[in-house]
Amino acid sequence: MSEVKYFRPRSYSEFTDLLGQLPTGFKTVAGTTDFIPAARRGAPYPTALLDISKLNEFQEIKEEGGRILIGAAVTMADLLESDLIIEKCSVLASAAKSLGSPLTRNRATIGGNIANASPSADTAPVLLTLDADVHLISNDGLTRQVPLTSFFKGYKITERGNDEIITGFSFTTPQSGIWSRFAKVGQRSGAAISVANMSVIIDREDNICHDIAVAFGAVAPVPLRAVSVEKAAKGKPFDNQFITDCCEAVQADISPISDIRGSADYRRHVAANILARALTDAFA
Amino acid sequence: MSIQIEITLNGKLKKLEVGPTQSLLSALRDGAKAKEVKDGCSDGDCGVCTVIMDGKAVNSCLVLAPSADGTEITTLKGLGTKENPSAMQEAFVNCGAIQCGYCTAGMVLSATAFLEKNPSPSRDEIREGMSGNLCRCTGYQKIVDAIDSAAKKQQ
Amino acid sequence: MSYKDKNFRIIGKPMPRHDAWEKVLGKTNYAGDNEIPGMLYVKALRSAHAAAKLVSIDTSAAEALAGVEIVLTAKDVPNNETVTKFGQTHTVGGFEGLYRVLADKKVRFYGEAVAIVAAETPEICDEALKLIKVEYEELEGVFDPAEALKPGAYLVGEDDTNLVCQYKVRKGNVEEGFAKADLIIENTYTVPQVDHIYMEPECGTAWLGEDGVITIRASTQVIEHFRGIAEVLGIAQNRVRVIAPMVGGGFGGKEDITVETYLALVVFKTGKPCAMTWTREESLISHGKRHAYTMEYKTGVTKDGKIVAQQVDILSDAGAYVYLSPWILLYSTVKAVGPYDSETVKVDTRTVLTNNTFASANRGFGGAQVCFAYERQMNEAAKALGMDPLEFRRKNYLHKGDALATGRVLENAVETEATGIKVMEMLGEKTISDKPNILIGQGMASSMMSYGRMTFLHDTSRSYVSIELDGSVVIRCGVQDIGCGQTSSLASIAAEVLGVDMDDVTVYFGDTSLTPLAGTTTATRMLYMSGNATLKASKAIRENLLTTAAKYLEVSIEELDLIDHQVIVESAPEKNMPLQQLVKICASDGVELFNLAQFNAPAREFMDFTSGQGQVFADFTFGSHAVEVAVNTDTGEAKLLKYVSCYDAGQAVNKLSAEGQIEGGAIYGLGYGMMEGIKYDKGKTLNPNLATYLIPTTMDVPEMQTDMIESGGGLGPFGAKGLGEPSSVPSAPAFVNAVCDAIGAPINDLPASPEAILKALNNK
Repeated sequence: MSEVKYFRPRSYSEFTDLLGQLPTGFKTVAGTTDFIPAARRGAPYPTALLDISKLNEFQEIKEEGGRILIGAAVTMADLLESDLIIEKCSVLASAAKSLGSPLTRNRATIGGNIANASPSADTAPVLLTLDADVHLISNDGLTRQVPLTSFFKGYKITERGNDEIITGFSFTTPQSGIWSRFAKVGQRSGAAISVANMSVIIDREDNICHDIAVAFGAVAPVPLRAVSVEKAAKGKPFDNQFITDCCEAVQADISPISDIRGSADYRRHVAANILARALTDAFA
Repeated sequence: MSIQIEITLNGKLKKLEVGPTQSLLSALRDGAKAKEVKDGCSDGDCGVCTVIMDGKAVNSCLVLAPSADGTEITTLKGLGTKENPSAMQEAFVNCGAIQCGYCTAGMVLSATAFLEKNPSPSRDEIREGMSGNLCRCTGYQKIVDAIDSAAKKQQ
Repeated sequence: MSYKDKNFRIIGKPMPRHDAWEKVLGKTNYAGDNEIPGMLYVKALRSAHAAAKLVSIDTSAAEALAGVEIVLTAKDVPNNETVTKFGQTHTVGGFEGLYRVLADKKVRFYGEAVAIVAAETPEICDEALKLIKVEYEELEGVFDPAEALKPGAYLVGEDDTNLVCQYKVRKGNVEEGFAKADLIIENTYTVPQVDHIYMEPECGTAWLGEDGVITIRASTQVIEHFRGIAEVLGIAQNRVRVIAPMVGGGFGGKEDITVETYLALVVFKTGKPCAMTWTREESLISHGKRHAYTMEYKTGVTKDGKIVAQQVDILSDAGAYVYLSPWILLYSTVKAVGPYDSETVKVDTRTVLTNNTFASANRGFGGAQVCFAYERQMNEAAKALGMDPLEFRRKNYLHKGDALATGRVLENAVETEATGIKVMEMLGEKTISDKPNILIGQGMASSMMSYGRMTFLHDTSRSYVSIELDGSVVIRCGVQDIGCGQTSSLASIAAEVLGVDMDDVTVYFGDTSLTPLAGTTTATRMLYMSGNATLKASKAIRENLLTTAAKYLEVSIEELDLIDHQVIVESAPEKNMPLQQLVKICASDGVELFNLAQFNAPAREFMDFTSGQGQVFADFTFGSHAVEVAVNTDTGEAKLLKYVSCYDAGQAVNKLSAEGQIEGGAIYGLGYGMMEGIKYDKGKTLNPNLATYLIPTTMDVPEMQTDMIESGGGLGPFGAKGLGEPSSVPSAPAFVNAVCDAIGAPINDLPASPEAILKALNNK
């Protein structure tokens, strides 16, 4: 491990100068709240660490042209304290506030939360329902944007190439008046890891569900959009049948496993229950 | 690869040689001999190793030592002395918030950073703000009492 | 206000602890904080299998690595296997078992130490561990105690059975009891292994003293392991010294030897100082756990709410080695039916070896498991009778003068009923739910838990107290301070008796070479035992002081008192004299200003193992907890709304500390009820870290209200009872009883996790 190289650009120009020079097998880090425990459990060390935690450009939260942009090194604490996020996208603040503990939230970044593609990543369902794009730059300087909906490829596998760095995320600013909720089921109240989590964004008027975006985490190998639920709900009036249909549909969307935190059966139950509760509250 | 970093530890400039994958916790305990920083799990799950880094309470076990370069770090020894303790230290003693004392190092720093941000918290907010610091001895009641009392005293 | 008129200045008052300042200033030097120039780092290679034959171990590559000082395996340990009767680590009297330093021939549990490495840096240790080649031949193993009892079962150890021991208690004829019953309630309860999760993992340093004595400074509850360590090394007991600095939490988990023998071996073999600190993972997989039990309870009650028969069958999983399993099982056996009377009782208990991590002491020591069962059973019986749970308990609580099922008459204060009434009063009316998915429930539990060791162990403690020429006070007492205020209480006692302040007292503790041996910090015995020894020593000095003062001042001794550094002459205040002056007079007259006192606990012979009749414990602490929860029917999450507890503390020595014990105990036990449990896959720990083995955080715990009765009826100093273990025992059943009340369905297995609660709701 003594051969691991360490790079910490302090400015964007230092960062771009580094591009092309990073050795194959480098790893981007920022808060290191996932990296250090994984390394302790024997995850192989990379050839080099690219620490982007000191780059102002990656720590910005801003709104430009009707889109919200969030840098990869923005921490959970930054998100939940950001006036812009609280005002225009409270569902993301709510997810950020549920992640880990105040101590880890001071370090854990949104880039890391998405890059590690943990099924239980708390910001993932929210960004999925916001139709966020992932901004990437490669070691050779090429940039691209990938919709988050096609970013997660399999258990802890993403669309990101080995030489690519997540620089940030962007999504259309949610319209005012939409209803949203982030819900999380954990094994305890404080510093909990999700056994199931969910983000719901609903555009409704009177009793009709005009548009809906629903995403779940920790109930499949990857965080995912609940497309069957969305299909079952879109354009439908809210009533008991609506709830029943959505809760049936969710079972087709998810494929939970049993693990140390909960059984597949429990996850199926709570996924349906928290969805039903959200829908009921949305139309209350 | 050995990296030289410079931190301000409890107000004093300190140069340390660290490894690229070394944790700040290890750099503080083994390098800077700041033994008042304790290790409870090395995994970010217990909060025992909490220090205040540039005003924020963090698990020092989850910070890469090289990334702490240029930061200001406060440990228990930087908060006060017996003659001139911080309000939080005094409250922990007087409220009976200390039993075995091992979580105390992290707990007091977390609480100090928390009050900086939220000077007049409700007891529920205190509980929320302290949820990353585990204590196995006290049941937390007297810890919440201490933070509550320090907040009121500071007002 | 003074000790003389029992209107205490210090005792019973809420006082900041004398050790708190050092701790809050970051000055306390814990066992892992010591660095000795030139010290080696010691790490253990741990078995990756729970049951395997050790075919061969090749340490040559590790030994050849630069920076490695020594690699040790079983063959290098002078006495790798030791058996000690009545020891705290070893086999307990009469039972087969052993303490094994390093695995030999056969691995019994996942995480068992196979070899240790001492090297110049921790990193070199890690490299060396990877270079040790161990050839294992995996064996089938047995992981369920019921399976382990079956004929032909895999044998965990070298004996021809996995059964460690069994006990029984018989009171009357239980069949006749059931015949009288109007209702019979039968349930099976299960509780998992749980860990202590002290915040400070096991650690220590060791060195060769200039006198050639091997000195180990470790995080331990038992410095008297020096005897066991000497036996392992094959040297005289007086050549081993153990020091326990302030311990970062114990809860029973540091009652057995942890790092001590490894450190001692390295010093013994190399002559060099060394340090060993376990990772949290090592701690979780390789120290003793609280025993997992399966408990079958059958209770017969009459229509008017009297218990007429209690039949209990307990199967305990001892894990891979015996350790303290027989004693823990005996505790459970005696306490199996709790603080309740029953006309007839039949208790049968067994503890059995398996290839799970060994189980040993954990706060409650066999009392926590059975309390969950008997208190769930009380609620189920009340429910079957349509009776209020407190009302039902009140018909059956034992009182002073009543006898336990073991025939032992409760001679001291028994305030269980008063605590039960108090907690339900404090809990108040049930909160009304304002949400369709929230169900509110209330529950209570009472318990009896012994303090002090079993009476046939003939327990003693010694304390030395002296007063210096300036009037300051020194205590030397071999207590281990594990955070509950063990040393601070002694300071309070001496200060009260000698008329000085707590700040005037320095307590030297936990050093086998310098402090008189005071026994183990276990079994809720320190205040009781060392408190009494310190009180006895302090009183002797007071006596000497006052006798001298009476002579010097020419007044009768009855008129004298010691208050606030003064000798007070009640009839003639003008004769009052500073304490310091009196001390000087005593010194010049050759009056002894020190005293070494020994306190002997009341001793009894063994109970009769054929009937379970006899005395096992000197006294018990009684108390009750009550809880209100809000269960979310969507997720099964149970949020605590209120937590109240009440104990008969006998006499609180330090009100703040006593409350702290009660609150801390409550939440320690609450974790057992709500979320804790080691999970295994064929003996392999699946949750060996704090991200997967969860304990309560600040957010899982409600505001707590604590009340105390001070009956003065305990055996400790000033009538104190012990609180450390008793306070943690009723939490789990109180919580689960509240959850069951909320959801209207039973939960008989711990932990009552959100998943378990939702399952119970769905199965309703």
